[in-house]
Amino acid sequence: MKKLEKLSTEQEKIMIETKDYWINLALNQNKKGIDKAKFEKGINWLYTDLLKKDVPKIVYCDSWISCLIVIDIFKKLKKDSVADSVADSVKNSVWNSVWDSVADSVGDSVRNSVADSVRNSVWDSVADSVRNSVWDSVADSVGDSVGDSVRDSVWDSVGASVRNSVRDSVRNSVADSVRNSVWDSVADSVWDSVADSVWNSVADSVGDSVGDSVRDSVADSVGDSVGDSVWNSVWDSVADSVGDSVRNSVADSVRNSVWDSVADSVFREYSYYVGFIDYGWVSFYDFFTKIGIINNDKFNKYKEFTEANCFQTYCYENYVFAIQPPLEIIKNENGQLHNIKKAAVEFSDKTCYYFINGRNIPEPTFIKLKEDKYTIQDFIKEQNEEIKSTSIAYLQEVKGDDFLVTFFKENLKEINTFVDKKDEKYLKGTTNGMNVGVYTLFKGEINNTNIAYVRCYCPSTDRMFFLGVSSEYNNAKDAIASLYRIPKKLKPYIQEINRQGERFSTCLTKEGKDLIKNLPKNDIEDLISITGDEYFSKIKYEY
Amino acid sequence: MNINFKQQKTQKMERVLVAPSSTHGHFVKGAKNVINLDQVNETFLVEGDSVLETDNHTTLEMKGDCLITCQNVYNPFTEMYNKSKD
Repeated sequence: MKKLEKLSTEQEKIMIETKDYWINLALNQNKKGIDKAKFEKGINWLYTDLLKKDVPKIVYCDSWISCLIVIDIFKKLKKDSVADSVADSVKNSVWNSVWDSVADSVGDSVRNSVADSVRNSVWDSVADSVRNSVWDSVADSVGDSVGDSVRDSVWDSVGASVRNSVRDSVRNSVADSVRNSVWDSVADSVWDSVADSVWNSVADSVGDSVGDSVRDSVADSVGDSVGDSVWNSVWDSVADSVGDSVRNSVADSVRNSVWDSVADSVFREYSYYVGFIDYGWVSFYDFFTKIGIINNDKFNKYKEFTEANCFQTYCYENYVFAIQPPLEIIKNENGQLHNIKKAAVEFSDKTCYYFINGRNIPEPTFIKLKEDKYTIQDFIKEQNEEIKSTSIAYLQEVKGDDFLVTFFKENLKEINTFVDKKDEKYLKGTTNGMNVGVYTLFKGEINNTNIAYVRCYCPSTDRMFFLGVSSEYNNAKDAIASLYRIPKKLKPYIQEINRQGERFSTCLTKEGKDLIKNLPKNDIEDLISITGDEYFSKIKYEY
Repeated sequence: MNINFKQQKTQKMERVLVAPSSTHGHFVKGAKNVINLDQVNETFLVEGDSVLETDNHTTLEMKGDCLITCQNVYNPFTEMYNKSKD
């Protein structure tokens, strides 16, 4: 079969339309929320046809953080308390173990959102199960075989005690089912099924029918483009921010109760299916479907499933947790999440994430910046260099370079600048801009404490950083070099140093490589710095 | 090209995190072996050719064995060096 080696004008038009369709779906149709009819149809298909499992119950969550809390609560449901009554169990057992600890740390809207999701889904589940599996079938049998008077008589004499024990035993088993079902993630099964049945199939068909140049061109124009717009810049950024907010920004109680229990098992377990993460590859094969290269029934169903516009899905044995897309997704002209006035990403339960040029910034810092309350003390106190850099970027954009100079000038005096003129080959992969390799030392005093910073720029992105150094240094070259650390015993054997952000990669000589394999732990932990001359004679690539 | 389904879904699982305290993480991919030598200072020995990947910097190619260490920054108020975070 002759491969498609060149797209026609009409096909190129369809290619652009396909890209726009998927980006528009994620970034402009998000306010409509999940198309529940499409989503539920898709879940039925996924579990019944692909996984050969019973159709699970779907729990819709208003935000990622709400979803993690809901899953955490499900995992902690206690058998005994659920048996007594679902309402009590949620109120007593779950609330006591999880809810009380997070209640003060999340906003009312998140709290209400979580409460609704848990209450509705647990109660419905138990009620449905009792009615469907026990009551209906027993009632029919008794109705067929026993007269009304016998039934009434038996009911009156044994009803109360039997009812309670039956109810409790049924509820016990249902409670087990609720709890156990969220332990059994079907991520791997979904992964295998979707990969084998859907992706591999369409990939082979396109591979057989389309030349490499067309494939790459469509990948650039549709798949990667949509992937970058939806997955990389939104989903991945929000994923990091959710992780940050649970790990760092939210109170310890949330971190302890939620993060510890769901972090590894849920948040990063990659049961990510039918969500923004899929838009890149689905849009790619959607184009080939539209121009008639493929017509794969399973892919078509998966595509329709994806079009439900779910932000993220966690699949378990009997439960699927579906996260509604954010209500607000605001980007800058470069496609990065960005908003200097309010949150760049906001979910319907008011969970907000703040971004400046694609970089996440915690809400308290953003509010201080916005309200002109951000001080040099705040800057110094911040331990995360990326947040410092993002704060600088905010001030630079909103107030201009002059303000930035004034902001630091009140406390810091420029001492010395060193320029590391790099060989052209080591600039590959950098911005190749005029700031690469420029280091400026600033010194000053705050509250009788001597402070010193080296201003430098990220060679990958040109973001400005101010890195804290000891005030004993009087030149930028030695000051920046002092931040490089290596085990003391390996210092004579440094062959080459490369850097990526705050991580150094050091190549050692053969003697150094031999030595490190037998170096005792205390020698590995004994770190020292090197001089500016030593450092800049060894440093090669910096990103 | 991130269009590859499997690549897209598994790339973070195949990588070894060598920056546990980093927000975005730095990941070694393709190494023969990665040994955590010092959990406190986050010093790793990487054996074999590999690449170092992260979200917010260009990917670094690492030829042969290398030692991964963390940049330190100075806190004037505690007069101590701390691991730099980004």
